[in-house]
Amino acid sequence: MKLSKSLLSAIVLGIAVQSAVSCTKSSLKPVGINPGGPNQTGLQSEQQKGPGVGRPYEPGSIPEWMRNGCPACGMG
Amino acid sequence: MPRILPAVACNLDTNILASCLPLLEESRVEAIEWSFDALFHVKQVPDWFLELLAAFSKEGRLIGHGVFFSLFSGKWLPEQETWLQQLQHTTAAFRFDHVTEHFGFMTGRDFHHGAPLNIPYTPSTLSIGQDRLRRIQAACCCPVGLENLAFSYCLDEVRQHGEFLDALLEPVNGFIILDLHNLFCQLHNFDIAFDELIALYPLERVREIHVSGGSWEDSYIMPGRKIRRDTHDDAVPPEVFRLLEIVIGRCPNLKYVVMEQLGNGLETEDSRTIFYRDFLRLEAIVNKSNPGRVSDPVDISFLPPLADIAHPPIEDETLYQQQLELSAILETAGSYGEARQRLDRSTLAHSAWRIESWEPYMLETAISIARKWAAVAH
Repeated sequence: MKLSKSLLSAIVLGIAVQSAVSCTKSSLKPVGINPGGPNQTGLQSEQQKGPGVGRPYEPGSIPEWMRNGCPACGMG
Repeated sequence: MPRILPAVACNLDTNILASCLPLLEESRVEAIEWSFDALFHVKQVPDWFLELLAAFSKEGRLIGHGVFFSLFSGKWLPEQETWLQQLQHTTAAFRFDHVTEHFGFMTGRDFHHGAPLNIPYTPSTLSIGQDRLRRIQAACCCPVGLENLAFSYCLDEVRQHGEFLDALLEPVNGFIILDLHNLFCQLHNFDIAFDELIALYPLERVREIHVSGGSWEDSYIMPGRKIRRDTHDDAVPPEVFRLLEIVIGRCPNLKYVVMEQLGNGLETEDSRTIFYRDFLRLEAIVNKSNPGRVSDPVDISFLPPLADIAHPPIEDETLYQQQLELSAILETAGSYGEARQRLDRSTLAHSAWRIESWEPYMLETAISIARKWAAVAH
């Protein structure tokens, strides 16, 4: 499936920023991704949409299985 | 027959995303599978990841893969109620083409922070599983499916798994994710022939196939015995691609072939290159099977029937206590011998769990899995 160039660029930047954050292990504070506040799923309203870049997610909040393997198949 | 879409399991993980990026840039990824419940407790999700999900969702090419529901917990738990509410919120934001979960019950202090293990195949567990699937379907309002489990304690369980899945899914018109690496684990761990094993699965129910890698682990109690584990942290073995070539034409309702690998196996450039090549190989097999299949047909397979949910949720207190007992033994026994002794004295002895027929090396593996995830959770 073809993705827009702006979205691909945003992903590239997002990965780069996150990689840099991981490498330097700098302390992070939660960053307001959606200025208007996310709804419960974190999805933005139509007005807020548009690929945001350069804002790291909170690494400490990523589940352990993403770093240590996945338990779900039962053999992880 | 629907056209088959080559897809990747794509989650909010830098290594996975960096590995998927070249494939996304070349427009090779036709769909993505997202483990939505991994982000239920994440406070801030970056816009660009949400936009990625939204782009696939808009085209009807986003599929959801839950991890933490614990389908067969004997007791209905508050965490399950919360999980369903969060799924409902998520599906209000993203349209899933289907939603899936895993087979088994999770070990761990609250059944949501461990590893899923097999359950006895009884009328009681069948009722619980059917009840939970109805609730998932009512929450997500789309087709629902279950993945075949990699772990079994004995060959009898392996032989019964396909039939039990079929019975579980029948009331919700559900489908199977056929994880070929999970089958590969069972072929090796139980020395069963592929033709014999695949004949035991209702392949008309397969809507999705998983292709992934894993690892080998030595058994200490049976020196020389190697256990294949579905750790998702390595390249796809050639044998799994061969299984895909054999099976793909035998699944008339297949729509997605998903490559799954976790970020911990994608940290180096070499591993990302292999990931890319593996996807190309997957894509080539899919493309070879697609002639004669229809692009974007009106997909009426696996549409949910009218909701029919029993209130209150079906529970089995005895099963629940046995699950707690088993989890505690697996997580705390100091050795295989101690685990065996404690099991023999437990309420699981001479019951539907049939612990007397469990293969020692698989009990040893269960201990290893439960301990690993107990350590991660704590």
